[in-house]
Amino acid sequence: MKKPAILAFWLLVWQAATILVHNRLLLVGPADTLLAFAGQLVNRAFWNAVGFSVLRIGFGVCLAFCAGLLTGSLAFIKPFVGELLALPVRLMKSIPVASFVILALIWTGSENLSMFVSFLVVYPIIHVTTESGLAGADPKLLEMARVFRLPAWKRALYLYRPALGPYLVSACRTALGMGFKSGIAAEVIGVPSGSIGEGLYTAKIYLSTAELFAWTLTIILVSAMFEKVFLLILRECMAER
Amino acid sequence: MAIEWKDVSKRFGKETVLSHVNVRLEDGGIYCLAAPSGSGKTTFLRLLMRLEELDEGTILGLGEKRVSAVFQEDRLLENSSVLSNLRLVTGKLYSGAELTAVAGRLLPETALPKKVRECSGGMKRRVALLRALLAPSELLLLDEPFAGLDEENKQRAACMIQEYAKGRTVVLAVHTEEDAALLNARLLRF
Repeated sequence: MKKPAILAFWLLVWQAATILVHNRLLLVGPADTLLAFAGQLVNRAFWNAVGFSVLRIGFGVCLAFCAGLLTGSLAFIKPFVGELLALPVRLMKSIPVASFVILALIWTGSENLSMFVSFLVVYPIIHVTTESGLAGADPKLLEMARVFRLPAWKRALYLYRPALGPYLVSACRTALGMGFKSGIAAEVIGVPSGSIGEGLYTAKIYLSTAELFAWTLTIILVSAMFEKVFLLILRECMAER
Repeated sequence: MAIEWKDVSKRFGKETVLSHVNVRLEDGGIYCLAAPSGSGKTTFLRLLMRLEELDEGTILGLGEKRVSAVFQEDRLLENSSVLSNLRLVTGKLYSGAELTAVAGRLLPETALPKKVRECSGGMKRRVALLRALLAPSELLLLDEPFAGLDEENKQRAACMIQEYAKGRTVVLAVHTEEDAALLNARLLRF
């Protein structure tokens, strides 16, 4: 009951702001946004754009997750790997997304730009989290494993996985949203044909604020759904039995 | 092959915990370290577990002996079931029915699918003991195995330790000599 009430409150605030501003170019209300959104739902090009962007950003995020998990684990096992990767990981974290976008436009063109950018945003977060999460495994349980001579796969599954799980879930909550946001931002800059980014860009060109809001709503919904499914699978994989 | 401690000393910083210990642990023997807290019982066991380095002396005959243990703390996977904790060390050594039957001697049948974190302190101790008894090993090291157990469970646990001690060398650390008497263990003094 609390959540719908909060949502209703903010929708009212939004609607009140729209009435106060009274300029459809600057701000459109929730009703207009929903109408524009509903209009897009019956448009085939809309679904193609959603498919185009989600597929690429989703693939970039999943690839970054797997790569970060792999290199983070390697860095934990062999500190030399961690030292070797520290510089590129730090660079990926600190270089602005816009610089990456321009570089990627030169290297790969605009079509797979969002995949590349979302990878670069998500990968360092997962790498660093994996490395520090594995280091958080309970030393007393590790001693127990040593005494009982548990094989490496059992240690990984029963001792390191539970230690890593909460770190990884928490990191993914941040990283997935960031990956999606930067992927779409990259599309707006690169304007690949038939993408959500192109839709946003077109809405900006034609000063169609309602359409811009509708695309934004689409991104929020798609990103939230992707995050929910991803975290559901991750939690299931990390659950102890 | 017997395990022989020759002039073993262990220090932590400036504090000497074990000083020139000479003991011989015969194969198949049950030995008990009955001494007050802080006298080096846990360190003695940790040296046998190869979790500490010696400062002086040698321990012969430890070789490739497989060890199973009850630690001072339970050291169980809190978010896993009791059964998973046992399976962790036994692998496929026992069938489901065998494991249930053996565990049932110390635990109520309803405890097996329970998460360890939902178990009482005494129940956790019994799970830790079962894990040590069921794991394949030649050397069984038990640090305060009866901690938190009521008299009835203590008797049952002692009975089971004696049964599973066959063919193994057992060293246990307890607070009182009465606990040592429960297992007809030889007292170790150093």
